[in-house]
Amino acid sequence: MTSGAGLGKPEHTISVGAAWFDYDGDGLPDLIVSDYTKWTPETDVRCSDSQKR
Amino acid sequence: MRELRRHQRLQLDSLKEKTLSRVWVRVAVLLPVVVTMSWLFAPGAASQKLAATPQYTDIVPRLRFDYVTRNDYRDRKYFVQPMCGGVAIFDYDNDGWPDIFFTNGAELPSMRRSPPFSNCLLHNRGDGTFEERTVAAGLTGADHGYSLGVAVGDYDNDGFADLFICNLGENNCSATTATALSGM
Repeated sequence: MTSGAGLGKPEHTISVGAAWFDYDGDGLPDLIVSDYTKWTPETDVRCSDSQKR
Repeated sequence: MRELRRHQRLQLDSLKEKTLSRVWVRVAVLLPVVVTMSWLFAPGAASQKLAATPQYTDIVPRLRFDYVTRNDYRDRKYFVQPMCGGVAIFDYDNDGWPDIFFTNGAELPSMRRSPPFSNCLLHNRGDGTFEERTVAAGLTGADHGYSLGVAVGDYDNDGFADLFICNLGENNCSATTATALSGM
């Protein structure tokens, strides 16, 4: 249903939050989705002390 | 002389009446203040005041469900792990009681959703206890990847709240399943 509703998103982005609200006052709820950065487990860059995992 | 005395007496009477009325006005003004103060500072007044403010009771001992937010943190840290765990409180079956929905993470790096990583839909029984209905509502998220946020809205105006679940992977508008369960 999601893609049919035109709700596709850029590949590999992380959608972290969303809200339904009627932004144009037409009586129908609209959706805003906040996407974070592009990320996959395979391309994960570790951010830690080089001595530790 | 007699006239003068009479006049003086009348003046005196008038003065007495004025004084008396002033006393009554003071009583009328001060009485509510005194009553209020005595209520505020009387023994036990603290509990009376508390009764007028919202009270919270720890209901955890009454709640029984198995949901645990799992971000699959073991040893290796992944970027997405700190953001796990969206919550929605909404009445999914329109029975007048707010139900609870939690998103969940996935195994990393595979992003598989084995049962411990299932989302969780808790149906409010209305007596302070909840019954898990995730599977029946089709909301386990087994094919969703790693779920994060969730938003509630009746996007098709059918009178039943719908869910939009934010994922790492494809996003899902999963509400039809919950709606179908509700007899729509």
